[in-house]
Amino acid sequence: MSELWVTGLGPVTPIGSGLDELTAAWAGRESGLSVPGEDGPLAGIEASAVAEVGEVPEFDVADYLESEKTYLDRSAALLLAGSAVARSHAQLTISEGNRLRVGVCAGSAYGPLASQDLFNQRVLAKGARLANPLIFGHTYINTAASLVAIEWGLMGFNEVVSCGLVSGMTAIVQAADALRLGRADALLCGGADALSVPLVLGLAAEGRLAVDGGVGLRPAEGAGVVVLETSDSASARGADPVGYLEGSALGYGDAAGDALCDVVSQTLEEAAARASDIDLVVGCANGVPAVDEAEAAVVDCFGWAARLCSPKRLTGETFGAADGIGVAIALLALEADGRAVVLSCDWSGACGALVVRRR
Amino acid sequence: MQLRRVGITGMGVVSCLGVGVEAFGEALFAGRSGLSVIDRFDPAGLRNGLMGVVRDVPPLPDWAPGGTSSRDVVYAFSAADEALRSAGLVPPLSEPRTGCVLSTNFAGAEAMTRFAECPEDGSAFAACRFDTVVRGLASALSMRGPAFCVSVSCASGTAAIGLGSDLVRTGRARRVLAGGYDVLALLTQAGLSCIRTISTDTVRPFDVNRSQTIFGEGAAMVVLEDLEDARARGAPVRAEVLGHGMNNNAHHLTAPDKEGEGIAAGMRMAFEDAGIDPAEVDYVNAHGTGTEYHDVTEVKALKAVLGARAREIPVSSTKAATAHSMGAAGSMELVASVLAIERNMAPPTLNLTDPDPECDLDHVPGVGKPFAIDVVLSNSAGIGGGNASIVIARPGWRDARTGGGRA
Repeated sequence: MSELWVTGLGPVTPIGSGLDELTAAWAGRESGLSVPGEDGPLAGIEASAVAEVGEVPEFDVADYLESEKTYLDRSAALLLAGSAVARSHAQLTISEGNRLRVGVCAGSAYGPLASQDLFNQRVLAKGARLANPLIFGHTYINTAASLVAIEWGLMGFNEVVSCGLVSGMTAIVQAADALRLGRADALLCGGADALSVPLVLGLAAEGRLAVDGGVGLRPAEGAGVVVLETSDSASARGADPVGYLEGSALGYGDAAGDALCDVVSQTLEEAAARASDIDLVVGCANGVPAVDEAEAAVVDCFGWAARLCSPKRLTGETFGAADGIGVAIALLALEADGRAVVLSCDWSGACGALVVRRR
Repeated sequence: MQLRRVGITGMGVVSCLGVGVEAFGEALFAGRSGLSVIDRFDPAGLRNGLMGVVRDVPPLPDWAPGGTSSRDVVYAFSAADEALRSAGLVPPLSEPRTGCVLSTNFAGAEAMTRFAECPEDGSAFAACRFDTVVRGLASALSMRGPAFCVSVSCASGTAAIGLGSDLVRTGRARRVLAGGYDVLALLTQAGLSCIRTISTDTVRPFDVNRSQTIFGEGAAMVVLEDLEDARARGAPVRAEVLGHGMNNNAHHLTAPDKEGEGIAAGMRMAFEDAGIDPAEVDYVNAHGTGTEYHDVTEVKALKAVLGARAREIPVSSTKAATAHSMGAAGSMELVASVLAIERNMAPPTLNLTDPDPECDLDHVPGVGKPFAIDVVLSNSAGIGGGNASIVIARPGWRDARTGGGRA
């Protein structure tokens, strides 16, 4: 059975984009949280709507792509950027010989919410007859993954999942299974989500956002893309692994702590690892009580308090991007041959975990 | 990896043709259409008010949480309830590895309208999330396995069942509730209308006068089980999922790949995954949207993949009966495919009176066709260039084939 290698990482985050920036920012524990920028995706939002957000600073997809784009939802732009970084890191070239064996498995919690809102507001204001056909094509949640496939000619496996804060993890686990089932040789997997005014207003209306520095969510954006590949495929093209995906699992439960503990147990079993083999725990705590409590339950259950790190304290909650970013942080932070668990949990009770080992 | 075999042990449908698999099947094979003019919202400004509207809205099952529920929840929960009951399963489903994979194109379309009108409505925003219904079902059924939403446009419903079967095959789940749902709403129909995918006439798959499609709504769910588990508990295995394929044309966001290379590749992936030769298929439930380019492309791809077999078997589209039910379409067509096996009959393509010379397969015009059907290929494709194909077989067919003969 071929192993699953991580051959490329594509983080685009509020604390840095690309491996060098992310490594430096993580080492310095630099925060990417700030008040909404005047030129960013939340331009014009009332100051009282949200205190702190994690914007990807000065993000321009043109910095990542050779082709020109007319209109892109910011979530699609982020996924394209993360995919470009990951593909470049993996030195993965697409040819007639492999285009049916390389694909995309992407997750997003909210998809192109800004474009959906833009489209909807016009229909509500002007009627169905004057709906905007250009925008409509960008309101599908699978548009971003399709654009990645089109950008690099990836005719292989193509899947888009949504599972709230566990969307990126779900995509990575699904990608792992697709590779094991022989559906592809290499997959760009992970996810992206973008900040937007409707997202922040909606989260505020739900009562999810942190107020006055207290408990609650600091919404953020980004992309976390991983090139996951079978060892046979990677070896054949002379690619080196950054790390190895040794185990993963998904679950659900109204008692999120219990469910996440179950999922971590399954993940460790699949990885043939013991809790004591884990050198680093990439946590999922984000200020939302149900999520923080689930992480605390796992840390307590497996005795991992001393090995826990909390990326979302620096990045904010990057939703579909978070788990791919978590994998990047794990593999950049680990010593050679070290192992990390990446945790993922949604307030709904969906959860997932994976074990990676650095080369 | 030791792969498990996957049986379909339960099915449920909410459609414009009727609520419940029996009503759906009776209408479908009798050649009735469920299309009617929408009266739930004003279709002014749309290319057509004709849609696949669910008229008999079913009640929520008794295990569903109380309170007002939107149509997507009602459709999905009702179809899930029928699927579970027909599989002989009673909630809660709290065994450790029971999961749920649902598909939708537009998630909470009604909630999205409410949120667009009132951004202060937190409950509307929460219901806009793509995983709203899947987590609602998982929670109501006390599931503990993987539960997520898949959305690859109009290929979603087939993808959900394929990916659900993967969870069982790999052992991540022993049992999965899988299927799709979507609801007609003005905002989404405005979008589909403005990109001119909606016909001003009606849906006429494979007909020379076809002029795009007609959209509908509903839900279709199946229970997928480890075949050994299903047999051990005496569950009614209605079909076996042999394999599936998913890919992307990597061509254009909205324009079709007229050569059909992508859709053909997706079909080949499904047959390879199923471990059978394409010549073993007995019936194709085509995506068959009635759109100008897709039907010809799909026929071209079928000829390329099936070879001579393409001309020997029925290849029909059920969308003129059910309308194109978006995220539910592939799942509804899988239910139709299981019924085709059980009845040894290919469901008809309605409104096909003047065949397009380029669509020259046996498209079963008007009246269902008796045919010995053991193996079915069901195709789906969508905006963004995604394709999904799934291959299912009569229960026992694979065992008989392995033993050297056909069931």
